[in-house]
Amino acid sequence: MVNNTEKFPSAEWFKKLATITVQDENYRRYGRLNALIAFKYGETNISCNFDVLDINDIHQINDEELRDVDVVIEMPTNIWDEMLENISENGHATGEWTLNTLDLRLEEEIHKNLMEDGFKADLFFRYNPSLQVFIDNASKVI
Amino acid sequence: MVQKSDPAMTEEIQKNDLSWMDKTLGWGTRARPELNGGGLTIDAINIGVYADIPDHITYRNRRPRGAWPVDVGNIGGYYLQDKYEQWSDVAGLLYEETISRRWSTATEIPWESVVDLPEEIELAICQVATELCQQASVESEVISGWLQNLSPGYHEVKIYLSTAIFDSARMFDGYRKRAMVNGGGMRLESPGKLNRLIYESYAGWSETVLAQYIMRGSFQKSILRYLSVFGPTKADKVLAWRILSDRTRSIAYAIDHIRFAISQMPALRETLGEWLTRVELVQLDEAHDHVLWEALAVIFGGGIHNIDSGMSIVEKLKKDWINDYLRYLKTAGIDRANKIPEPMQKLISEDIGVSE
Repeated sequence: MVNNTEKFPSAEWFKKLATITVQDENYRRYGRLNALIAFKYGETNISCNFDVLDINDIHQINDEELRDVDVVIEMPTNIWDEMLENISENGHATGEWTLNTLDLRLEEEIHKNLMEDGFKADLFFRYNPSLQVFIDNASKVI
Repeated sequence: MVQKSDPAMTEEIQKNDLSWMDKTLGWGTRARPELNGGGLTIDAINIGVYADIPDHITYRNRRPRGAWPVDVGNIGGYYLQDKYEQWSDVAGLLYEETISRRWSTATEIPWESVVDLPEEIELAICQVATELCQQASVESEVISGWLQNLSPGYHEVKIYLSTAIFDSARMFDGYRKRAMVNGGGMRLESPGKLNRLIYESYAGWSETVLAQYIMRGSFQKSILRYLSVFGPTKADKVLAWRILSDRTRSIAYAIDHIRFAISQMPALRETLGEWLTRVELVQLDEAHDHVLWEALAVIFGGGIHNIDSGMSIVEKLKKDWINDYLRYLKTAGIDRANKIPEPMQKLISEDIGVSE
């Protein structure tokens, strides 16, 4: 039975996602990355360290700590929910539900660096194929 | 592993000179691979005496950093001998990243999806492809031309730029293939004003970096970003999406290099700012050409009948482009927010409503 601490958007849920992803050949095919990325769902912020081909140091952080990460990925909670539903239905995000498309289509971009650092904010695009595989693997989290 | 010599070896030593065998600065240095699958990276081998990356390379020849010197004097080229003129702390990482994240336009783009497009959209995407192709070709030539002028003492930069040239080659081949895959072919050449400025930017490598990677880089990034979402076929979207990753890597080098250069030589903030004024004016002049914007508007709007709607998306693209340009420069240490020409100011201050 899945308890609440293992459900999205908990750190436990992201740890499961990371375990699946680092073994995913499709993820490894896209190559190395180095970025500290926080996923923000409502009041919950989960920080993930994308460390070469590993994903580690996954834990909840507060709003102030968001300033220390390279990229914050944030969207309205209903969009998060619909995106994950789309991924669950299709095994991966389709058309309008990819991170890259949401980032451009929504009124506010979903990626940002809170210190307005253009180098760090661009990691969203530099590693987008890898990040998409990571999120797509939500379909495999039980 | 060093082993004790035996009598046979001693005899061999006497027969041969072998004086080269003690010509080393760092014997016994052993590099170790990175953790987490990174392998033995170019940064991981910067240890011991080999971790010393001087602020100035005293020789102008091909000697690799850390090699035993042979007095051959200076030879042609390699005249950028100062670290601030070329260095970026992330060059080694970007080099490894480019190789690790390598991909092929031949096999990783769903070219089969490029079918049954209305003629006007095929014409429009081929026009955009032609211009991106030409820009990528200019980039390859300009960066290649600089390589011999950069000191081998900063090999991380030289080898990263070699991979950046490969990235620009892939952008060229990707968009040439796009133009040729569905009957559209190569279209009208671009006005090429910024191309010429980039070719002529031999005042300094940092000047070239600003023109090629920050001004043009931010421009291309915006076009690729919008094509990755509004591209007419899956192949167009995937092609732009993959090249977008490559493009942001060279922008990363540029930001980090300019930031480093200014930190070492603060007066550069002023002189590079003057150069940027010229770059911005030339780019603005080129932006008066309507061809690329109309082609993008036809693509984004889904046809000529909907070009007005497409043009409002183009206006948003332009706004994103200038905002990115300013953000990159600010991160690098140059604040141009109140210095860019008026038409650029106007672009980012206007509220652009986008109807789709």
